[in-house]
Amino acid sequence: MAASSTSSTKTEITLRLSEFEMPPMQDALIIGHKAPIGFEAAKRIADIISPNQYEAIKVQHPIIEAIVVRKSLMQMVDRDTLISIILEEGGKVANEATILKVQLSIVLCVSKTVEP
Amino acid sequence: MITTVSSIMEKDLITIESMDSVDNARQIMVRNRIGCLPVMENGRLVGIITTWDVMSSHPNRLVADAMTAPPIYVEPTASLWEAKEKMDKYCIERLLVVEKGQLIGLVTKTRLYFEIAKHFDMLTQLNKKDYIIHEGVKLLRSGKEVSVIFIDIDCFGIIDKEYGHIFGDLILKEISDLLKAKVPADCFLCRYGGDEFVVLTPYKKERCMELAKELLDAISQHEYSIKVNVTASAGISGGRREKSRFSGNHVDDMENLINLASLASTSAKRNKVPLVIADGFISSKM
Repeated sequence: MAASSTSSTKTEITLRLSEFEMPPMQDALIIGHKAPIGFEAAKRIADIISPNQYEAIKVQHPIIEAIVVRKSLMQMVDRDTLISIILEEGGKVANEATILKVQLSIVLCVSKTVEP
Repeated sequence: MITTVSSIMEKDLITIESMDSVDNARQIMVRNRIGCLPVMENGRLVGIITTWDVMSSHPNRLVADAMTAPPIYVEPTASLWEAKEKMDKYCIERLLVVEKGQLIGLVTKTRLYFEIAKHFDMLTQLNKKDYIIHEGVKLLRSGKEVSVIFIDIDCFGIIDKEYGHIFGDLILKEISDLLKAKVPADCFLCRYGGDEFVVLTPYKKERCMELAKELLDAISQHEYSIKVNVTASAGISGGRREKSRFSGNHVDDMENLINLASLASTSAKRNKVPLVIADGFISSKM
């Protein structure tokens, strides 16, 4: 007598919803030389998603090809200083294949002395 | 007429858009068995992507982020040596050909070297005429003086007939070695034809005459490996740039200078004098 067998296939679907961050790159992006997107792609993404808000900058660095920085940050801190800090710190953790999202906070401390 | 890049370039080019992916570029290269693709953006040439670029980039990247830019190119009227100089300077294997801003062709290093080899004389180890024209055009472009010495060996046919072509070739080789040793480093020497040699100099007429005399003396005073007296006649043209009537087409002007010097050497031979200076300038539209 032949053994009978039954089988069934079930597909389970799980949805996980979360808000898409706008813009997705936050304050800055660090793009490695062999990352899946390069300077040109990052520049165009930024221009399309957040027109006039970001500046893509090609850099001379052994690991990093480009950075994309929120323009408003460069109005608060000298452009070259900001780039240098991002490269210095980013260069410690980035590798050629990565794209790093950077959160940057700038606190401006003002102290004034006035005549009584 | 000299051989230009336009006569050896590939014309049916496959191109890719800058917004295409590196992976797509790779697939096109594999499918068509080609090593590079010119990159276009809105009909404008913006770069070139090679197998090397593809190998060293993430496949997801835009071609714009992997290509070599700006593109290195030459005009279709460029000489073979001009193309070679550019390839050597930028260490590239493929050179684009652009005319009035439009991409019209591509030259590979292999094809270029194959063509250049045709302009090299194996017997004397000297370049042929086109190379001299190329160097002459460079001198003219840079505003330097240009003069040409056309050297024709006297009665060389008799040497060939009396001793045979093997010994004739031997004499030619000895003459070319003599000339190579005597021609200054800032001049250029080529074998023009059978028993004719051309020296291109950046000298004024007087200095060019001195050099021509030295070369003729060297040829006539040398002891050749077969006991034979060899003499040569020479014609000189150019060396008077301030009085020149150049057409503006440097290739035409160089060909005219060589032609004048050649006629002057014939005149020297006919009049049994060693050296004749060409007078006047032959129009390219004769």
